[in-house]
Amino acid sequence: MTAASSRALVIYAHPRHQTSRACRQLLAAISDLDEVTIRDLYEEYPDFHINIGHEQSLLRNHQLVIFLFPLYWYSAPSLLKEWQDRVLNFALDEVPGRAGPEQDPLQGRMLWIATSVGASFSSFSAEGGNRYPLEQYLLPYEQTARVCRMAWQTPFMVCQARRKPESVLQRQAQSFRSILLGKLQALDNA
Amino acid sequence: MHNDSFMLQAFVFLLSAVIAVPLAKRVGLGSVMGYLCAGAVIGPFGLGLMGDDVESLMSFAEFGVVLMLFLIGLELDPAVLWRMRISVLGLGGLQVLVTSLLFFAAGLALGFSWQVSLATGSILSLSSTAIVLQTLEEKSLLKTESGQSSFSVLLFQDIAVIPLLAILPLLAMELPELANKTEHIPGWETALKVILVVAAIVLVGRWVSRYLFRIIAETRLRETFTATALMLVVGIALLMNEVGLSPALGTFVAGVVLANSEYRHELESEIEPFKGLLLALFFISVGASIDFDFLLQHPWLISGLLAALIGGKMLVLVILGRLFGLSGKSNSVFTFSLAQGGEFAFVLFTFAENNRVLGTDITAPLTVVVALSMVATPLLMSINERWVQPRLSGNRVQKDNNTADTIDNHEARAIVVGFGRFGQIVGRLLRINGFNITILDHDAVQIDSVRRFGHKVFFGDASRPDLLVSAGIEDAELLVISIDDHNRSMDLVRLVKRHFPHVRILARARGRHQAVELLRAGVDHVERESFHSALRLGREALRSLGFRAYQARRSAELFRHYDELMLQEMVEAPDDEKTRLNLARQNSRDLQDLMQTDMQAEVENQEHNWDRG
Repeated sequence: MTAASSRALVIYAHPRHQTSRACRQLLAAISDLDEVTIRDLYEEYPDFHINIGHEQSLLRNHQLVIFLFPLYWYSAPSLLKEWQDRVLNFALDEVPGRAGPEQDPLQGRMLWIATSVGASFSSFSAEGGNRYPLEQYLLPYEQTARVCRMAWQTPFMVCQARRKPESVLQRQAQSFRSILLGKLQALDNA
Repeated sequence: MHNDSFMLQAFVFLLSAVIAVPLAKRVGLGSVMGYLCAGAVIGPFGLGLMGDDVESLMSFAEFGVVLMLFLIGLELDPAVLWRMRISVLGLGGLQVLVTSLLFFAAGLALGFSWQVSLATGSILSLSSTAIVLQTLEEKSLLKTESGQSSFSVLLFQDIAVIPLLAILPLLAMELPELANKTEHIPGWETALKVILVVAAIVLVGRWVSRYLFRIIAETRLRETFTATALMLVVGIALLMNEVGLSPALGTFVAGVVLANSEYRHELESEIEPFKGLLLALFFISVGASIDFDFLLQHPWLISGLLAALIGGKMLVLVILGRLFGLSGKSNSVFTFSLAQGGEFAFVLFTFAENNRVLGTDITAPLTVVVALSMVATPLLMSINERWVQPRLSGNRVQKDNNTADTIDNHEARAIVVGFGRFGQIVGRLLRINGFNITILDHDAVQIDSVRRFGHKVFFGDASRPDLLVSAGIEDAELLVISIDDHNRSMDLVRLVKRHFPHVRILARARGRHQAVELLRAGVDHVERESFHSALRLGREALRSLGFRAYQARRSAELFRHYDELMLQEMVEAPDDEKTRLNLARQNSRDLQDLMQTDMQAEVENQEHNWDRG
């Protein structure tokens, strides 16, 4: 997991990791990969005091950025929002006289959301209690990626995270892993 | 002159132990075997270096057994004891009963009278508390399933001695009228005595001892405390002797009563060395008491009896162990460890002789047999370890791994040293979250005030390794040092780093320099005692001067961040006064610069509209 060989940066935000089911499985399924660096935000910054410079340099050194979090009130847990508020602004800095990566530090990188919800997929529909498809609730992230000139990736979503049997969650975690490996492979080929 | 011979005696004992124990350990037989052999060599039937009076020496050394039971009592608070009631009464009771009956039947079959058979049968059913417990402890088996079962049986046997002492005189063949007389006196009187004495011990242990210990502790003289501890145990032993009860049982009760006391750990470490030495003396005297002349004259009789004693006991034990659900491995430890005659047998044989229940023709060979069976115990345990255990584990690995050794000790995972203003906050936080902690403090007044809030606090100077051990540091994961004396903290850190490197250490530091020293000494995490509160106050100061609350918090956090970075830098810098001063001066300048740049950057960063109008 050294920064040099690592290509994927997982920004993991879970305030109740100790009782998590789905996100914990997803994280466990990829934590052994050399090419993955994991930032466990609630473990790193329990006091919400984010080391901005350090986070920004990590972003510069990775091609694939993954936000992994449980969906709380149709958004990320507050520490990830704090992280966005503090860290991402540098993508907008316009430094006169410079161009390329200096100007757009996140340009060309991929942003991939992996999230879990307690409700079922069917509830995220016009007929269901959540009224809109899950993807629509992730629109702010899609737009964030666009503004930062990052390539938006189709989100990975786990539903009914509290009710599914462990074995099903494990299978989903494995497919999460293989999609990630595919993306890393694509990066290598590029 | 008299003094000289005492010194010479002591020297002979110590020398023989110093030579024999390492040898026995090297061969893998444990210290008990070493002592027994040393005794046999220097005893009257060996080199004859011990003087003539082995018996009186032995009765003196039996005090070691008394001390041992006191220490065992200290480890068992009443709740633990209550949980053991089934195995004590069931397993222990059945062991004594069935073994007695077996030997009773054997006696009858050999043509002895029923009185003789019953007396020898019940005497031989007892095992040796001293040898078994010492051996189990040395092999760290005492807290396992097998160790606890063995202990239960031994405990019941110690209790069983009381009725045995009452019943034996009734078996006297020659003086029936005496038997009749004694029959009427002891019954209710003995019972009343037992109840009264035990009640007195509980009363004194619960309520009086606390004040006594507190007064002694306030003198801060360690030897006074040692003297008090010894006085307590000796006093109880004398009292028990006076009313005709087993002193070992009395001190055991006292130990249980004191198990919840805040002075428990201190008591343990004070008594421990005395127990060790006296037990050694006891084992040596057992070795010395073996009558080799008799053994050589009747080799077949003795070896036949020895085999019958050990074999019979093992048969009963293995069946009972199976009946009480011991797993294969635990049961074999249980069976092999308890298959000997006990030290009480010597006492009871003499007692039975005096009461004309048994003649010398019976007690002489049996005394040799019991002594030999005690010598055989460490050997049997080694045989079990080397040849029996491996086979059992081959058969039922899976099950045994899960069932054996599961008796959890309820020792705390964290030890907090120093329970003043600082330690109390740490300790309360841990306890509120359900963690069991052991607290050590050396201030008796402090302990008394804290105990009122329901904390379990132990008295003692934590810089003594023995006290740390009895506080359970060998099994602890975490040590929190919250004392205010920097030099004592440093001593403690060095001690723990040297002897118990597995323990994680968190420490309170007075200030920056002390924090650096502690970190250099290997502490895992340090907090300066006034840093965070000062920072909090600074935050409030910023607010009072017009900052928004969150702005003040950000600033304080940033300050903390850089300050901690610089502390780390100082830890890594070379350790001389000049570099340190330079570093400190430079740091305070740097901190100001860094903070200013950072605050500036943050303002710019945040004022940058993310959605660019």
